[in-house]
Order: sequence, then C-alpha cells, then structure tokens
Amino acid sequence: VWIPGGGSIETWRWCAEQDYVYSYLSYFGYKNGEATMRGFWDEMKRLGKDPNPYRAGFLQFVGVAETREEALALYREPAEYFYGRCLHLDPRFALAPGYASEASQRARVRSAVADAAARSRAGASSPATGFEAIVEQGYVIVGSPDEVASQLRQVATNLNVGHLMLLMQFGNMKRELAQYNTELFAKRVLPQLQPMFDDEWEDLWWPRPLPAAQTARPRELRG
Amino acid sequence: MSPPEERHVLVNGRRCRVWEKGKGEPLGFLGGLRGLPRWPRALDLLAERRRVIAPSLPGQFGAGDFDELDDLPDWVTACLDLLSASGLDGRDLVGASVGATLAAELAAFSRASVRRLVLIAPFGLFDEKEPVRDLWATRPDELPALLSARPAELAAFLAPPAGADAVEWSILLARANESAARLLWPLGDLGLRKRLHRIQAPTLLLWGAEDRILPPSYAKRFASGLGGWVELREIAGAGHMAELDQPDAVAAAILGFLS
Repeated sequence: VWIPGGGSIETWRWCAEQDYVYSYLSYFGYKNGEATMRGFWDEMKRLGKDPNPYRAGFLQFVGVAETREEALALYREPAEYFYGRCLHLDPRFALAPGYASEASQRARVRSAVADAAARSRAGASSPATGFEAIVEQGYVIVGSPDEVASQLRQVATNLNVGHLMLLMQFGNMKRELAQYNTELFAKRVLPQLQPMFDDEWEDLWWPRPLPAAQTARPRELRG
Repeated sequence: MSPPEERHVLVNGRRCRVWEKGKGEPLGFLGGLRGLPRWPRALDLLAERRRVIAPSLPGQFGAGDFDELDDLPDWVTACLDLLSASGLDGRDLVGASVGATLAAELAAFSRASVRRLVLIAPFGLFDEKEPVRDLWATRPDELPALLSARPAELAAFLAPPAGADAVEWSILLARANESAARLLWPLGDLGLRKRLHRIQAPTLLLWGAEDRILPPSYAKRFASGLGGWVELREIAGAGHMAELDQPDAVAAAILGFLS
C-alpha cells in the first residue's frame, strides 16, 4: 500500500504504524522537498522505524534529451505551461478551517517561513514560473541521460528515497515528446539507477505477482 | 488599562480561561470571531460600572481545542456549563458575533440562563435576498477590511504580544477561526429563526452601521422575531466587530440599556 501525502504529520505517523509507503507528492522538486523528507525520516526514527529508503516515494518532474541544450529547448514550453497555468488555487479556499490539524499547520507555517527565507536568499520572492528558475530550483530535472541519472541518484541519496515517481509528461507536452522522454529515460537513465539500494535494503513494498499456485485461472470452456 | 484577573474553569473536562474586572453586579461577555487575544477597551469601560466576567468560548484564546463539539446541542450544553462555572447563571449577558449567536441560542434553549441580553451583530438568520457574507470563502487579505471599519486597530488587537512565538500565535488565531467555523459554517443559519420567539429576555441589538459580514438590516429581522422587549441601536463608524471599532459608543449603549 502506497499512501500519497502532501506533508501532513498525521500521514507520516499512520504510514509508520501500518508499514505503508509514504509517497510525497510535491510539484516543487527535490530542493523544496528536502525539509519535508527530513521531517519524515526524523519522525520514522522517533517511532523506531528503520531508515529503509523503500518506505518513501518522491515525485519528480524529469525531461531527458540527447544533450542538455536539446533538453532545455524541448522542455521549456511544457514546464512554463505547467508552473505558470496549472497550479492555480483560489486563495479563498486555500486555508479552509479544519483542512489541516494544528500539528500540520505548525509544521507548514514553520517550513513556509524556512522556504520564504530560502527563496529570499536565492533572490526570488514566490515560486518560480520562468524556465531558468524552474530548472535552477529543481522543480524539473532536465539534461542528457547521464546528467539526469546523476541528479536523480543525488536526489535518492539526499532524500533517502527508494521509489521515484516521475512525471515524464507535464503541462502541454505533446504525445510524441512524452514518448521520446519516456523511452530515452527507460533505455538510458533507468539502468543507471536500479541497483542503488539493493545491496543494503529489501523493497518490501514493490508489487509482486502471486505464486502460480494461488493465481485465479479461467474456467475451461465447455464445447 | 490594568489587566483583568484570570482564573480557569473546566468545561467537558477542559480548561477555559475566565477574565474578570470591575466591581458591581456581574455582567457576562462572550467574545467575537477571534475571541479575546487581549482585554479590549470596551470591556474596560463596562468594568467601570459592572463586574465584567469574560469566559473564553471553546476554541478561543485561553481555551483548548474543543474538537468534540459537533453540533448545536454540543455547543449549547458546553456553553451553559461555561456560564454556570463562571458564575454567570441568570445574569446579564453580552455577546459579540459568534458569542452573540451563542448567547441567543442559550437564551432560546434555557430562559433561566440569562436575565437581559445584549447581542452585537449575531449570526443565526439567513435571508437569500440579502445574503450573509461567506466568511470561510474569503481571501485572507480581504478579511480585515470586511471585519472592521478600523482594520489597523483590528490588526493591533490580533497581533502577537511582545515575546510571544509568532507561529504559535498564528495557530491560536487559526484555532479561534476554526472553532467559529465549527459552529457557524457556512453561513451561520442554525435554525434560530424557529426558536427566536423563545427568547423573552429584554434584548438590546447593537449593529455596526458598516457591517460588511452581516448587513445591518439583519437587526430588524432579529428584532421582529424576538419574543421579549427589544431595543435596537446602530453604531456609526463601526463594522462587524463594533465593540472594537467604537468601544465608547458600544459600552455607553450597553450601560444605558442595563441601567
């Protein structure tokens, strides 16, 4: 069982109690996700859970091409479309009373203060919508297959995350480009990532087929 | 302005702060939408003539998070207990906004619980021809000017005191907002229309002439439904939180009515 989360502390605790995977669905990339994932792992430690990276999942946008220059050219429009147009939330409904527990509100306010401070140090006052800032702040990882693999290895290591959920199609990306992105990723990036944690940890949460003896079999057709 | 005395009472096994100041006959006060983060000038003026007793409503500053209060009977019984524990059974009672809504409900459910009633812009009725503003679907940056005719004073009333943790203070404000929503969401119509005639306590209705949450015409709707003697007073230069916007006029009206 994989539980999607947006940073609520209660969800971390529940995943720990039930031994479920916590999948952090952030649209703002690995740099902004670090504080939340650090909070998650601190909580796991406090609850006596091992740091098996497969307890966690992380969502990341990715755009691969043959070269970095090509990637920057190909993924600019869909990324700007997504971050400029698809995340609108009417502020009248952003903080409806009762949506978040006090513990989660507290964590959110404290991390929002930290985020704002980090953005202010980086010279930006609000989430990025221009492509250079989107890439620079890590919302979308773009580059050649080797560059993307190296960055994703870094993400997995820094966040201690065994499951990456990658968005290979975003914004107004056309079918052909999504297919190109996905294929290139599967053939040239994925092989560089797969064995990352397997010598130390077992992925207890990856779907496995039932043993043949337990699977349902269609009834014989009678003539 | 000297600070009020502070004590605590238990309601549903949880602590609620009670602030008290002044000498004379007890006068209860139930706070408005953000509760009482500070002792306000209006209560100080009332305390010149009466013993003002202001218990914190569940969820407001000074009281815990009463998340077990699900429906109107839960709120009414908790607040009847709060009045008793604070020494306010059968006394004169002033309420503002959410506090006025509860004061009206207490008087409707239990006639013996109050003597005379002062309601400052209570929620509780809804007329689709002139709808109540949906407080919980409003941009946070628009709220101060909707709640108050003097938004800068409201901001000062709600600001964290020197030395307070700003994040924890924001949680307490959010809690007060959530507790009001727990009772009133979305538009404050709890069916009071059907009980209004049961309120037989002499009642003063005070309404800010510039109330942008509950149009001042709601005062007449209340007045025509109430079962007892009613006096109606509009406060010039005041918004929904009239007791903060025009404390002198509000206190004078209340003391005049009760004398």
